[in-house]
Amino acid sequence: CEKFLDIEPTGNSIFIEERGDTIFRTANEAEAALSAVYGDFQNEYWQLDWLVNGDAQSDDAYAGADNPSNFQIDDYRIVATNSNVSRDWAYLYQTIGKANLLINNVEVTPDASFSEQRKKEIKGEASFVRAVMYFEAVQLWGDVPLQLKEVTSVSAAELDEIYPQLYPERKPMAEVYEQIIADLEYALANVKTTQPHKGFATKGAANAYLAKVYATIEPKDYNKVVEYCDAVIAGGYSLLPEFDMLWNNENENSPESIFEVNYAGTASDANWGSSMFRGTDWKKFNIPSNDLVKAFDDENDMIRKNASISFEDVTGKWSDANWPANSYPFMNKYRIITWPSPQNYILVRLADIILLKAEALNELGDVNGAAQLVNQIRGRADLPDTQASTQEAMRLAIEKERRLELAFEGKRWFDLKRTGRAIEVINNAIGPDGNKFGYNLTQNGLLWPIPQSELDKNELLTQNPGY
Amino acid sequence: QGRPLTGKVTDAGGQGLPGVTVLIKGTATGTTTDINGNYSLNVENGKTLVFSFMGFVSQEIIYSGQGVINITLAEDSKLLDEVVVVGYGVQRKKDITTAVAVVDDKALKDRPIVTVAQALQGKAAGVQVTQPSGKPGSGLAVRVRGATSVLAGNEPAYIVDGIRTTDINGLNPNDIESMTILKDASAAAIYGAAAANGVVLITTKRGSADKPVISFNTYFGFSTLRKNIDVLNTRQYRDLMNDIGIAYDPTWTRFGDWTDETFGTGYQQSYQASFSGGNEKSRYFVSGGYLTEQGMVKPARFDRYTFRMNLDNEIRSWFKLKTSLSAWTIDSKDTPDNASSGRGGVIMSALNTPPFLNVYKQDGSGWFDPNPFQPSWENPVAYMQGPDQLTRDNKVLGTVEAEINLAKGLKFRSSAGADITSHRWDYYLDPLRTNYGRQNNGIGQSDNSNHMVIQIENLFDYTVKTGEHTISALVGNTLIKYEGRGTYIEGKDFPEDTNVKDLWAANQISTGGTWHNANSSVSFFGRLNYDFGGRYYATFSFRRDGSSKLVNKWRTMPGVSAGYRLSSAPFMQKFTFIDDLKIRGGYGVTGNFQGLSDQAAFALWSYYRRDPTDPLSGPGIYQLSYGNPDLKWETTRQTNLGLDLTMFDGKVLFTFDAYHKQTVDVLLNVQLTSSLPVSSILTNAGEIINKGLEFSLNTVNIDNRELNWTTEFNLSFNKNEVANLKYTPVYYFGSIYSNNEFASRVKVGDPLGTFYGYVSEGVNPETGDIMYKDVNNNGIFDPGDRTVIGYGMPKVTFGFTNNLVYKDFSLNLFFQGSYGNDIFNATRIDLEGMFDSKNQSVAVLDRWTPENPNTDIPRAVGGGNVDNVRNSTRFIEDGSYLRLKSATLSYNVLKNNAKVSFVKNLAIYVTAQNLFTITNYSGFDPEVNAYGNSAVEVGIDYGTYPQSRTFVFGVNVEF
Repeated sequence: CEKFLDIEPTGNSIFIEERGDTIFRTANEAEAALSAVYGDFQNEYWQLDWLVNGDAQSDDAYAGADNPSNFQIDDYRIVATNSNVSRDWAYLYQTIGKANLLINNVEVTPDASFSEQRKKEIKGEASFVRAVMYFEAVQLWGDVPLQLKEVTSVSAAELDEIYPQLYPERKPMAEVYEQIIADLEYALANVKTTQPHKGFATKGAANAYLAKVYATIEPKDYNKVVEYCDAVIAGGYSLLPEFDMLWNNENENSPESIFEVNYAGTASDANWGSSMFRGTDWKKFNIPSNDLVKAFDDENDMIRKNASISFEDVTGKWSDANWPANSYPFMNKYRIITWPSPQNYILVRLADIILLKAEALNELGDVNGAAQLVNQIRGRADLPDTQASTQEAMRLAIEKERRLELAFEGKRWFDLKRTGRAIEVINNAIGPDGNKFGYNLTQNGLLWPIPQSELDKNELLTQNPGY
Repeated sequence: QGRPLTGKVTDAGGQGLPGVTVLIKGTATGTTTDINGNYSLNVENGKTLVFSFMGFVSQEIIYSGQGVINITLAEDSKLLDEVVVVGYGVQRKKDITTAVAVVDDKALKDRPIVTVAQALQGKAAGVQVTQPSGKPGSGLAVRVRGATSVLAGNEPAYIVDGIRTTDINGLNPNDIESMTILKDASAAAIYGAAAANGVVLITTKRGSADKPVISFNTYFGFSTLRKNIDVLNTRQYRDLMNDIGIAYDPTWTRFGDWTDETFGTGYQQSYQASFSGGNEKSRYFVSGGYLTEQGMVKPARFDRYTFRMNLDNEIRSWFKLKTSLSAWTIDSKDTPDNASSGRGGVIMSALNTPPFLNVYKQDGSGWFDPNPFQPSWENPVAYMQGPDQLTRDNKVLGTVEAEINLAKGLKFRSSAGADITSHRWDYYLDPLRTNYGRQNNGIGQSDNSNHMVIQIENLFDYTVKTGEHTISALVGNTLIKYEGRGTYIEGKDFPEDTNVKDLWAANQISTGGTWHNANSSVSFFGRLNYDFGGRYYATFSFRRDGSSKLVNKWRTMPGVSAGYRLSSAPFMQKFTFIDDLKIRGGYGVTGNFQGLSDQAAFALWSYYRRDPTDPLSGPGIYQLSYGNPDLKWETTRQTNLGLDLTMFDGKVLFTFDAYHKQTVDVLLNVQLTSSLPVSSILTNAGEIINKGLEFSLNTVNIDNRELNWTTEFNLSFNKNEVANLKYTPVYYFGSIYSNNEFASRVKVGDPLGTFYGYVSEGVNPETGDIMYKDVNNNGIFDPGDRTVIGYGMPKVTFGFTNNLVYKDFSLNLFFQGSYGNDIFNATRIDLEGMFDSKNQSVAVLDRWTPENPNTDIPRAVGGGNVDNVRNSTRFIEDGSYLRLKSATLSYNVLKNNAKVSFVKNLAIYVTAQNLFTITNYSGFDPEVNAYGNSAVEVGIDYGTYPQSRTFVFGVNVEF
């Protein structure tokens, strides 16, 4: 009768048979788990929300569509029960957890054919991904819990040991950034220089993220920014000759691209996100703002405007207070909206790093060096050289350049936050009638609330001010 | 002072009857018989002596001076022989010491009932049945003495002719002889881990050795919407859009009433035939039926084909074979409801779709007229008729039981049963007419599964009677094995020809897979009944269950109960109006592991499809769940006290029960921080307490040759409370689409189904916005301002049935209702929110404007701003109701009429269902739940398919 009651699952493998077993039994299992870590770049956060957070949350785009959570984010009216806020928290940490499993266990995999070098590479790639996720989280929420270990089983016997992991407290931003830097440095030392495509961690990608991190932490370390930007620039990347070549989908994983989420365009490996932003079948997300269109027009920057925004006639489909239906703007950088879409997303590219270096040089007092780099970017867009000659003017010139160059690449909100300009810039954004749109962003609005659902289950968590 | 009289009172078998009341009529003078049935007293000549004893027919004798009067009392068969089906056997009703309720075929006969659960509604105290939606074939929520579980299910266990099954939707109510509901744990403990929510024992009809009977029943009915919700007409809608600031084309002037397009007339038809008969050695009952119910909102329909064959054979004098076999097919179509107008909800779309739209575009394209504000928000007809879908469920449920008489009083019963089901769902959305269909160029889905439960049961049953001691004992075991397999597939990009719906023709297969599940359980059980002279009773039972789902597989669950016939006590004898009074009490332990998945105890890897590697190395893997070796099943400990009282020669029957039900180790998905890859773990982390009182009163009010009037009334109070939660202090349920907030909360101290939200303090006359109370007094509006704002579970539920028979006419009136429950009317969020282009109810005509500052409807805000429609007291309404659930008038056209001898009986009837409802609830209907039979999301209305008002005409004939 005991045998009659022994039934094991046939649809899923058992994670650990007995306490003390290794997590991975073979190299192949570790590789498959690494695949799942990268696979998370295809989850909802990286298909949809990263662009909502970076662009709809800025003065570049309106929320669009019909989701109250997005409206709250667009209008800086976020309540701690906002569902995007809670799901983004969960998405980022899910990936962190998957990475933790590899970082902490890959080296003890008992498989003779599994080389030590490959183990280190895998650990490095997982460390890179963990750093990327923490970098998103720390920018959105400020102090966040540092989960660095995995939990494999929850039983009464182990509860005391794992309780702090189940219900962690927030760690100061500085400590989180320390971990991010350590992870990126480990990645830099151990991952490959080149990979089959740009969707994997490389030394170049690790350098690029290190540059971004040093430009974001307080206090900023502009020498480090320059150092890592230079390492990227020297790492075999180059700008594509024409701006639109980045977006015409004929140059996936181009020399300009540093880290790029790849989609094969098969049913199990498709980008549904791009069809959330374009198409006339229903009112889409992230509708380009009047303020952004004006910025392109003021600069007479038609090459990048046309590559970034397309206007369509949606008369009879829907109406909108911000734009006339007969000339309704859509994001234009992600253009393949057929299903299953192979549309790739570029998360980091060289132009971003060049402008970041310009910013660092300018802050270090090298206005001319900065101008050269800005002009390199402007030249590709057939725009005249920048007129900025003072450090002050150059700051604004770089800010504008980043906005026009990197529109709808999920950068704007984080750039404005990083430079401390968000409140001033966003509250002065113009609306459809040319007057102020009427955003009311306050200091507290720069950080998201800790999700109420997290506070409810973990009493060690504290809420950010204003929520 | 009269003359001395002695005598002996015996039963038909000559046994002395102790405790018989001997009373001089019209006085309080009398005595009772002693242990041997002897009595003595002084009587005057001419006085009338009354001999009465519970369970026997009273006798009166006029005293004429004899010295000795011996009396033989005849058993009152009506009272005595009425037996009730209990776990693994039957018991005389008068001997029962636990809380059981019986719903017999009378309750089923009086009205056209589609599903068995409907027959339980309002018929038994402590059994709360709610129909969460009016959709044909939609499941009912059955709660026996409150909800005990959050995840593991709250439906009682259904045992049909000895075999346990989870789905009784297809069971033909015409085939049912009786249903016994084992309410308290001392009765149900013998079903162990299946029994925490009570057990419903369903016994189907069997043949008898009388003349063969052919019976045929049919009815026809139609149903319509009981009550409408008025929305804005085109002009009012245009004004609203202008207020919101949504560009409105002045050519949009057409007016169409979408509720007229949506709510039509539903139809019901039923044809049932049965044949029964047999002789002493073999008997049969065979039935077949077809029932169709087409909803008032297309395409919802429910078509059921049923077949049953019950055979009883006495093969040897010591060997009986009992076969019960039923099979059914249900074809059903769904009308999507409980969803917003933007997400396919037909009811919300009927209310929210702009009134100027046409059903189809007027350009011959064949498209449903696209909503100019958001083309993916289709009109209700598009949601109703757009997809082509059908569900087919087949079931074969049967047992064969052998009964062997081993010795006098000792029986061995062995049965083998099977519950075999198959389920298939096909869905096709053509590539042309709807927005979603065009987007995918047609989309198809199919879901197919087969399930089989095998049950083997053996038991010994022994009864011995010596003197006044009757002992019956039972021991047995059960083996159950479940196995299920399924496949699913989804594809898109279909051929242009919309007649081609099969998925093989889809150009792209989006996903597909198979699954396989299995579990098993082993049980040992036993019971000992002791009866002393029909006055003292004691019952002990135990069950030991083992389940494959757990690491700690085994648990023992005991039950004990006792009863005392208080009416046999000497001091009670002067209350001559009391026929019988029994007090009883019991305690028992039951379990629940319905909600545990087969793999719940294991830590598992899961897979995801990735780009193939070279060489191939399989899918990506990730951790799916944490293992939980400590997992146990939920345990309910229940204490019950009750009394059964029969008065005035059986004209008044009163039953009272009080219970305390403590469920520990409640299974919960404990929410770990989401900063782990697996953010919840299934574990035992809660305690829920149900306390309640139950009253039922059945009376014969008038009983003469012309007129018979009986009533049955039952009233139940249940108080539910979450007594303890480990790890996670609070859980949220019931996310409301439009404002993205949770409507229900589970927290210690509150009952399940508690509504949680902000406190609305009305409209600010200056801004036109809702003011929310700063509950936590921190000066800002934040989620800490949310508080308990209502309770979805009723305090009281009741049922009240009147039967009037006058000559050949009979009238049955069945009232039913609830008191003290709130409804969260989330439908109003989308009807009074004025945050986007959705059409609104006429309530918004009184919206705030600078000219109309004092109102309770806020301003038209637009822009997707849902700040005025947060989950708040604004949408909490009293959900109490009283309704005439069913009224049936029937007429016996022929009853054993010698002139038409080939027809034995012929009756015609008309039934009205939901004829009237008294309620303050403003929505379609107060009997509602958008979350079906969930225990934690109760009484939420969000575009739920409403209950209809139905009229049915029927004929019952017997040959």
